[in-house]
Amino acid sequence: MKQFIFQKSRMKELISYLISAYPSVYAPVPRGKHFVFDKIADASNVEFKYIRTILPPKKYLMPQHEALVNFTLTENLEFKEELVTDRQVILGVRPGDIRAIKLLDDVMMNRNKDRNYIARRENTVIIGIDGIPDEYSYEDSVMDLKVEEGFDLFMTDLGNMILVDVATEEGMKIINSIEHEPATERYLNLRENILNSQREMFTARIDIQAKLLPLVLEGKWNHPIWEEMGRKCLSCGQCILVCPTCYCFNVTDDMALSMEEGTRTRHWDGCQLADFTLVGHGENFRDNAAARIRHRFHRKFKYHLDVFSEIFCTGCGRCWETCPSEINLVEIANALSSEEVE
Amino acid sequence: MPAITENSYVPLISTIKSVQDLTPTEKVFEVELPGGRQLNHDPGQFVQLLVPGIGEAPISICSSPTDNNFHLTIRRVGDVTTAIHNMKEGDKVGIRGSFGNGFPVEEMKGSDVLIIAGGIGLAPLRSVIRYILANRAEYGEFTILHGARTPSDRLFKDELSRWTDSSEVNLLETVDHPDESWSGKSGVITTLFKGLTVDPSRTYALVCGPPVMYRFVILECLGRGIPDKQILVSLERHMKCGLGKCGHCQINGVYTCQDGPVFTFNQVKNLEEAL
Repeated sequence: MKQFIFQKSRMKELISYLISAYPSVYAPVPRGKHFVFDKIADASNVEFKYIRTILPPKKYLMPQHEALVNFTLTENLEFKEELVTDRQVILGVRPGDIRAIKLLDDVMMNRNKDRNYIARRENTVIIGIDGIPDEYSYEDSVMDLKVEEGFDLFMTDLGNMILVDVATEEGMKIINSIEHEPATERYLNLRENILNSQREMFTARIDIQAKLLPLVLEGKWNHPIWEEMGRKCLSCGQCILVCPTCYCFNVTDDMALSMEEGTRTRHWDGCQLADFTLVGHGENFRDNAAARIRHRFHRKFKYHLDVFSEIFCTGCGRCWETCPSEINLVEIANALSSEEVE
Repeated sequence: MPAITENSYVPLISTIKSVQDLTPTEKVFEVELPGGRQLNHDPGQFVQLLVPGIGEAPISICSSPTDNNFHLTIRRVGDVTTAIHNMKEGDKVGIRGSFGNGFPVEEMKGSDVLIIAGGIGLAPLRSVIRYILANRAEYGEFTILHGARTPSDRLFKDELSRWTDSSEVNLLETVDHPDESWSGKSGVITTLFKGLTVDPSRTYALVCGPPVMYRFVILECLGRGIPDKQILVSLERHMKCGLGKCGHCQINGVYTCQDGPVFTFNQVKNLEEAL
């Protein structure tokens, strides 16, 4: 990893280069009171001072509705995989979302490789940027704010200057498009100070080390917190739809109006929706909200930890902010772990 | 899992070779893969069956790998299963798989086998039954307990008659609701355990049936001293992708489509949502 600095005033130049060099550049832009990742045509609308976007940048690697396979139903029944290999840049990605993409890579690019995901991922440049938390953020409880992998470039805003970590050759090529110089010790120290001050800003915290939650969960299968949260939950599924590490899906076969061709389409789906575990003859294996919330919490803090050695939560706060009942994983984690102390 | 297509979501275009009515709601479909390919499945595995333009459903393979082609027993319950019920010999379907782990037929060699099949649970177990009958000398005592709701709900009636008459297997049957056509036993499947003697240490019990059945049957097996690791259950879940990713079939941390659908009782007794 190499570090460079460049004048913040050169940012527009950098963005213009990206737009000229890549078919698609996605970046955070304002949308009403919120922010979203959207395709940009120029640098004017890009806003790096955002807390979180409504949806994570996952949508460019595993879209809400994604054609996996096209088929024809004429004389010759034919199925052809649909791989999207267009080059794309996701600009202005927060550390938590970078880590979330790394986790999706672990899931999709290893055992039972997902060719559709891999095609998009291998054609994606990720440029990160640091940021500050709000009352829903708890990244500091589940990860290190200083991300070391999963990006091509990572920018830290030092005021007039931007410090940039260059992790790949492609990242280097992008930085070479603007004037820059090697980062001296002074700038690296400045970044450490900024990171430390950002760590101090978090107001929401999980009281214990998050990687200990699997131990805390032992014997808590029938803890009253599940019922308590289950009573509040509307099973609307917003929490899982905004989650950067959720990847559950459904696959449907959708016919074109001609009724001669169609598409096998992957759609986001998730464990908080009431019908998720329903089988043909009517049995539903997680038929109540309490059981579904318990499942989601275990997926984030135990089940996947057992397999991937990683917590599948980045503390981005999206599920908390969007939940109409203000259900949040921090409150559940603290309710479960408080008894350990007593 | 034998990877039979490159992209995991592209099915092999296969042909329905025959269709047989079993009951008013269940049919058996014989399926042939293209180009003389063999499925080479393990007894107890399943495939994703695609009806072109309609969708996919996970279906257990009810034939033995020693049989020609492979067979799927399908109950008409939803869009895909209704659509295939309207299909006939020569029609094309898509096949992905086979998926899952199947029953440990190698490990079971030399042991006694006790099959406990409730309702359509007979379909996946039939793959093992036929496998054992095709390799009969390699297994010890072979007993099948079979329960159906009514006499007309019994699947594979011809085969059940043959097994009743056969000296190679001891078939015991019951129905929940007998009618005038039924001269056999009636009552729930656990009543068949009465008078059954097993040599527990050398017996494997294989269980598949409606969700409500498992707890009671497993208690009977445990009561007869069959070890946890020799009680095998095949579980139904909504396997959507078959690849351990989509999440629908997850039981606690386990993906039924990859780590199952066959589990030892040893494995599932600590999985809170399994039974």
